[in-house]
Amino acid sequence: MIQIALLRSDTGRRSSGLRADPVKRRPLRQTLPRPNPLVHLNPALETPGQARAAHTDISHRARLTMLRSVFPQDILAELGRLQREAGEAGAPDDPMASALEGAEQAGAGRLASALPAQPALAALTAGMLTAPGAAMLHSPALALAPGIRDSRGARFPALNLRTSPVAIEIEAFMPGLSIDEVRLSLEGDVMVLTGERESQLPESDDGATVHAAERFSGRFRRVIGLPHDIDTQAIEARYALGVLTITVPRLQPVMARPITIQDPSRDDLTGRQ
Amino acid sequence: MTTTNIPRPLGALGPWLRPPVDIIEDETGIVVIADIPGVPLERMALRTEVDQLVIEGELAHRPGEAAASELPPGRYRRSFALSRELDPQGISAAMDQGVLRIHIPRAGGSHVRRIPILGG
Repeated sequence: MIQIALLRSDTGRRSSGLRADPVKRRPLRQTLPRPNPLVHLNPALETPGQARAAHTDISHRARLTMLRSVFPQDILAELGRLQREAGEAGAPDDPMASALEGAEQAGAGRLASALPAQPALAALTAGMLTAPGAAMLHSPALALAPGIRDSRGARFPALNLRTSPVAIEIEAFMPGLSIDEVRLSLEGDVMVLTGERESQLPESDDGATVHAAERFSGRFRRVIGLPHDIDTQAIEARYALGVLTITVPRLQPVMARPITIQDPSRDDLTGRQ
Repeated sequence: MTTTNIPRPLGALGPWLRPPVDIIEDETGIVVIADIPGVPLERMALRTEVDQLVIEGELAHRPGEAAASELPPGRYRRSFALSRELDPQGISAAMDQGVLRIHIPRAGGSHVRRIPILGG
């Protein structure tokens, strides 16, 4: 869930336009005083080539274990810190501008996708830690934005995203397609939805007059960042009523199990070896 | 999709969604193609009011906590004024995978009338 926020929010607030001020802004790298486990442990945030390489080295489960060992240390404090930092940064910060700035500085998609997302992550955090009001859910910072790898500010198909403890559900509103025209693939933790929709407009020398041409046509590409705790083998997609519904189940954590502590000094059966 | 929100009317649930359309006219009449994904047929309404063609559809609400919505829950609505040479009785419509296709025939098979311009 957190990773989703990280990736999704890279163009989260667009109202202020491109107004990156390199003097005023701290360098992106310094906005994280200590190594961010999410960034370093997620090969999907690297360039696609690096991601594939990393996946051959480290299995999904191994990365999960690493995450679990790093993550629980102080998650609330970490989230709170991000939230405060977002507060200090103030509203006018434009994540897209940050993303571009980051990409320029680092020359890599990794920073651009991961770091500028902090305000939105903080907004999500605020929504989680306090009562999640409707206003919070619909705040601009939380709006699903095209990923940094989306083509040309793609708005097609529109995406809705729902989360629950057991699954993530993504709805892509893409009417009038056949399944053959759609491709859904998973590159690491990044899901890519591509396809092409043909224009219904007549050819120019058809004798017909076009009064409105508002519907999308052409190639499209949407990129959705997924969290680490997903079951990549069990992803399902269904196309009905012009909506592609993708269900991504989460891996269920191992149930807590009490461990008996033995005390040899006690004269009982469990103490004797 | 280029669906945009228009101001929410009083008492309505959620914002109105304005479906994008293609409108093509040829000799037989006018074809309106509208993107209305996520609406089952029983939640669609297509009607003529006086000289207006009104398209309405209710986006099925799905349970669960919305993490992000590019398409908020709401109702699609769009209306067009019909001109007199169109035949509202002859309107036909079909829906397939979220695309509504409406055909509005010309009344009485009338064709474009050329108006001669007289000059000296």
